[in-house]
Amino acid sequence: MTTVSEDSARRGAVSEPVAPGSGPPVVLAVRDLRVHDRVSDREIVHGISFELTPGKVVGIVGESGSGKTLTCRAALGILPEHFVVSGGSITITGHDVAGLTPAQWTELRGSTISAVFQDPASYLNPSIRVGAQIAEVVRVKQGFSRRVARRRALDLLAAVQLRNPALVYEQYTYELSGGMLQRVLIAAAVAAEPTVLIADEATTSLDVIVQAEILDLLADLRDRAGLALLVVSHDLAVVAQICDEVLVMRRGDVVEHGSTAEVLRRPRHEYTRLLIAEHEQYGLEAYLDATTPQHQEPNHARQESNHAH
Amino acid sequence: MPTDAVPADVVPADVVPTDAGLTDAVSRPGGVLQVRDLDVHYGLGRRRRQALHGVSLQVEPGETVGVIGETGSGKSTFARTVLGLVPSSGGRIVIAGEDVTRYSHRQWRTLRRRGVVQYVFQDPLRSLDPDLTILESLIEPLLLQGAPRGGAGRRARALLRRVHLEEELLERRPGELSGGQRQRVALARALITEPALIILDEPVSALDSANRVQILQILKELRNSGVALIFISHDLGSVAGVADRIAVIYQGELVEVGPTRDVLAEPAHAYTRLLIGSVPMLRSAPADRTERDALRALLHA
Amino acid sequence: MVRRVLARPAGRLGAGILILIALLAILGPVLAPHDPLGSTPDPLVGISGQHWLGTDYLGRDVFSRLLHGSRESVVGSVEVALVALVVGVIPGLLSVYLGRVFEWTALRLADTLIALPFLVFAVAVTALLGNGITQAMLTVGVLVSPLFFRVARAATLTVARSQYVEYGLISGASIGWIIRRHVWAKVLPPIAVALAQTIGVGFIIVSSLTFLGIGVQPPAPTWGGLLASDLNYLNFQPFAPIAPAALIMATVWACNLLADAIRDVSGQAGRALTNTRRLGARRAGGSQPVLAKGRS
Repeated sequence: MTTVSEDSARRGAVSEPVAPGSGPPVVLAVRDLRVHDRVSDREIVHGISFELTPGKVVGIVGESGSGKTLTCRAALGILPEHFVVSGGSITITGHDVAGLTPAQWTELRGSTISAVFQDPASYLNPSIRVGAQIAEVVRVKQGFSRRVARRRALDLLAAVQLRNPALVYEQYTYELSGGMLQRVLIAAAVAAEPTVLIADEATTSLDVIVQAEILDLLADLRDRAGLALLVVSHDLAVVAQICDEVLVMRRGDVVEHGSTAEVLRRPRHEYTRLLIAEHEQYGLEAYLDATTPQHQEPNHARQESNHAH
Repeated sequence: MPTDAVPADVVPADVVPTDAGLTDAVSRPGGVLQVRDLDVHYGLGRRRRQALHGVSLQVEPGETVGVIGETGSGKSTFARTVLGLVPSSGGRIVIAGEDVTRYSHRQWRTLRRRGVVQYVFQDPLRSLDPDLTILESLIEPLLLQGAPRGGAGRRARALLRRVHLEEELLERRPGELSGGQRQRVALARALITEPALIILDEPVSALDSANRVQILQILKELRNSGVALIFISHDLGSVAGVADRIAVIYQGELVEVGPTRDVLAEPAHAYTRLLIGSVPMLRSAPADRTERDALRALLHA
Repeated sequence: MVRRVLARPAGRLGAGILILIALLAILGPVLAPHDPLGSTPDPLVGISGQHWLGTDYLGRDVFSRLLHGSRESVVGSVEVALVALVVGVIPGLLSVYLGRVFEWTALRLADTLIALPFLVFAVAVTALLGNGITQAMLTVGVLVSPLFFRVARAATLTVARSQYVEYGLISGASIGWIIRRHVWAKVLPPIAVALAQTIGVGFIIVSSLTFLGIGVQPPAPTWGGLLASDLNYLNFQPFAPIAPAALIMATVWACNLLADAIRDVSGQAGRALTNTRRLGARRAGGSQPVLAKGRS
């Protein structure tokens, strides 16, 4: 990884060096990020801040237009053409990304920070077998030979819990279901062993059972590889299920920020209350809270116990 | 196993349907919709697949039935077959006392023009003609019944109010409305012929939270007006809040049917248990990982 | 829709020019000041009071010849367009509704016709059937019909498979109702655009054929023929070709202007079908951008 401290120093940007022994290293720090749209000359994201450490899962809940996707794209350096970061900073494993050149960004993506999005099929080439596409990522990012890359790709497909990796390797996108495609993309995303994985509406287009499987997989990756996750969704329950910390965004503002338990128990903003009410009035909450014995252990307690290591 | 038994007094096929109005149809034995041992195949020759297998379901007047299933389970095929868009290969469909199983295009057209069964699509943008005004789209079912424009217009206005939309939207085109507004227009259009049954296919899946709540609220209100609803979705969450009964479709078969509370509290079939266990919830955790894996293994056996 | 097209300046200009040309075609021979075939003893005279556009190499008044020739060109190009329309649109529309055999046959026929070159065929037909512009234009019309076939078929397909049509069926609509209420308005604009363009193309074809001397017996005047003969005498009268060339250009340009205007005023679906400037058109229309299916 190239150091960019000279660039940062020149620009006077804040660079957060990794201080040994001062607690878990911050792998992604977003501080008061603001994003501006040059076309409409408006600020779209009005300052969002959060931190990721290894094994920590942060969630952002918001509707379309809330700014959650722009935040993700800024962290990946792929903001659309007329959007710019107009304030605040983003730091990835201690390096401020403000001064990064495209080459430096390319270096960073995949091996440090990676992402999966909604609609998995559109992120894969429909005329190339999926296995080859994962192998390509491995070859490019880690420099392995074809044979080793193929081996590694098969291992990755097994790691994302596909039942028959060798078969899936040879298939085209149209032969795979949405859930399988998303697993393939997750495999590609973690191929170069990144530290941070962003999942932007990764389960939105999937059926509920498949969604649960993918969320399980992400939790697995967090446990096994110490991956830091940023999970973005319009569904508060999805975020609540897997995240330790939740931010709620509405029209570019962060209207709620706290631990999952806190946000659910004591929501401060009425929008959060609306989201909670939606589940309570129109969801399974009403039926299952009191009746079934299998649902007694609260969500956040489970996560706390997971972090006891 | 379906817990619903179709009663023995199913109306025989040779009973001539009268032109009786809604109330009469509704008071016949057999409820608003009766589906018995429905089989649906599609494709030809070697590619022939079975989409539905032995599906039986009865919907009583005024009740809301949620039909849950994953993509490809056959739930949309079920809706399309009941509407006459897809031919069945076995079994029986009785709508408001009329056996429509072997109906020709002409007979279907006559039945449809009575406005007894209506439909709401998942994507409101595509289900409204982009070149027609909202008013024109709304009154189409009435015009097909032969109603005069003036009366139809008045009814359209009244219905717009019922779904909490402003009258001035009548002159706009679908492209100028938001997703939530469009879906409410689609709902108003489905209500305009005073149907006995409305089938909704994923009506809120494409909407955001606020709009979803609004539509679900309207659907709840509809239950009091005597319209039966079939609410098809893959999302158990949105269905549970509105449905009186839940029917679960898995791989073309109806694997579980019963009152909502019973199905959710004591699901009998492994798929239902897996479904319930997979829904992300706010306060309580979904089923344990190991439990879900066990259920999945059971299903694939 | 006609009103909306005329509301646009492009529409007015295009329609205006075409009406002028049409008038020339109808009234031309009457308005011509001189006999187009009569030679005068003043060959290749420039623009003068007596001869508004001068005379050609035989001393014939160019202006009169142009006026007489206009009928030929206009009739010829309209022939091409109408034949193409009738031969193309009806099978195009029907191919969606009449079953797979008809569909396949119609598609393969259209593919074959597209592969054939029209000028060559036009020449061949006149060789076979004698030198007349009508035969040539009818042939060309058939060869151009696949354009209309495709346009009509594509437009109908898009509409026929749409959800609002399906909804119409669910509400008890007959095929006739659906065509009248939903299909027609969306199919007409692309056809109108194709028609306008084809008239323009037809003009060029007529001019090309007559330039080559095919399709009309000399010394009958045609625009293309005038252009050809003028080119022989460029040394003496360098400005001579401008008049017929300008007329041909103006007519074709007017056709394209009209086609553009029709496309611009088509409804949203029509606009999408004629496949242009989608974003620009929506923004100009002031409607809210359509929310994408995804939720980012």
